[in-house]
Amino acid sequence: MPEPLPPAEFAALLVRAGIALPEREAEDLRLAHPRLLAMLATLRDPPPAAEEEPAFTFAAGDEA
Amino acid sequence: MIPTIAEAARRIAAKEVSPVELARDSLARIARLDSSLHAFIRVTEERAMQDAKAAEERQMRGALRGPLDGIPFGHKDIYETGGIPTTAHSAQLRDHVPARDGFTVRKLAEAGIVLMGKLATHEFAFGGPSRDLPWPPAENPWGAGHFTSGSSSGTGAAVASGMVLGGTGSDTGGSIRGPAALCGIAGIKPTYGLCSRAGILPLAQTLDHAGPMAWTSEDCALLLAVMAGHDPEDPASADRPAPDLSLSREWRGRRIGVIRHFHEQDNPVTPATLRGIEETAAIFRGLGATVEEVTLPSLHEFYAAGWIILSAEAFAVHEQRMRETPMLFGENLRGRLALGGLVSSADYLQAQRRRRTLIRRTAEAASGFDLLLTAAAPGEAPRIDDVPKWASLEKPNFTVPFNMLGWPALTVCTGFGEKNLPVAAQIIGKPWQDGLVLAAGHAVERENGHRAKRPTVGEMKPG
Repeated sequence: MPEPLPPAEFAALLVRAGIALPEREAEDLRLAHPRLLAMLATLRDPPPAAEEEPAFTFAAGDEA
Repeated sequence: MIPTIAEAARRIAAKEVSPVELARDSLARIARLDSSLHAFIRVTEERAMQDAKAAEERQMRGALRGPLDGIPFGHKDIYETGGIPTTAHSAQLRDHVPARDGFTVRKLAEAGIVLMGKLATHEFAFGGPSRDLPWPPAENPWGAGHFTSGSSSGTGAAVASGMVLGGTGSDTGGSIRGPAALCGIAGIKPTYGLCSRAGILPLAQTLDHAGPMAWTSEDCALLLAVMAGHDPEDPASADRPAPDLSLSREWRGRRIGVIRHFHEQDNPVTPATLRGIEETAAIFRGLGATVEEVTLPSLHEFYAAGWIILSAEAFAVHEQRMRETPMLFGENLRGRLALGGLVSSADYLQAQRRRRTLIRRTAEAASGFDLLLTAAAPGEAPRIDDVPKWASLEKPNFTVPFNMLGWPALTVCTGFGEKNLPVAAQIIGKPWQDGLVLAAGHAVERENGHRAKRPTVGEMKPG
């Protein structure tokens, strides 16, 4: 499990996302955040294959 | 004796019971039980008696609209009901009164259901259980102070206790199947696109499903037959013929795949849950089906991509509220949405790419199988106050994979555990095989006998 980000770095992340939380809740979130980072790491290992893309295809009848 | 929807429909059709009697029974039960179960946010008594009298009038002149006519029913309070507040169990929407019914609400009303009220949910289908909201969390009828799971918490509690005979749920990561499991009822997340979500407050649109919850799979089939259908107002609604929802099927020659690694390695379940899955597999064998093990991608892979998609989409849905009125959310939801706000666009796209991979790998692994079988929940209900704020980050659940896939998945009760609370299995089908999934649930319920036991709510003792 990754380590929690330093408080100042985590606070900057929240500001960038436009999120304002009470101090206690922000600290609680900072401590939970490594679990999200651990999940995110799994998305890139192994790297997605080239054909795996969020594609959109027109269906029959869409031209009408 | 609380009837199933199917039993009540037969008795209404035979004029053995009046919809007005059923509604009065339901109201009496609500008056007796809901002060402890908190399944209802709002009881619509006047509307219920109006609906019941109209159904009784149709009954008397032989003009019943079908098996749902006169059935006491409740809607999860994210289903918009015209003229009736729809709060999402949140202070954010305390005064929200929709102008009109959503698609499925309208279809169920047209089928004659008797609306008993609006049912508790985790806040905006993502936030509970929480004690800092305008209404308390629903409690499990099988054990005072125990968790219903969520988010369709009120529907689970109201159906299990017989306050309603059926209700609506929504399922983005397991919100129908989780409460169905812990409350000992049936609930199906249909194929993505089968039931319109228009008029249902969204959580994460690429994962959101609408579906029914009831005491039995047979009742879910009756409800799904009405809820299903194309709706141009839902961009994900499929325009295709209604699926065959008949429950009489031939089981010889069918292949059932048990996803054993989900519930034995990826997130090991309790002995009672495992026993229920094994007994369910044995029932299928006894009916003539072939049961084999199947290996899918790991639950952890599904869960990581699913949770990231869900939380990022949920933040997008609630972004404006999170910036302008964050303190009107409960603490749990505020924190979960904030975490979703920390998912970057690259993270989200990688999760959607991984989802594409998981769908392809699962389709390959499940090729040749008619149905899949695994757990619906790891075990019995915990106490509400023992559910951690970040429980959803601790272990992968068994339901998210089928939101990612969009495949139909049903929870059926398979018995009771050490605390005498329900345990369950999950039966999964291929897209548009909702009828086969429900037929399988019906067959299992008939064989395992667990539909005969209801919670004795009046005798609840603190667990």
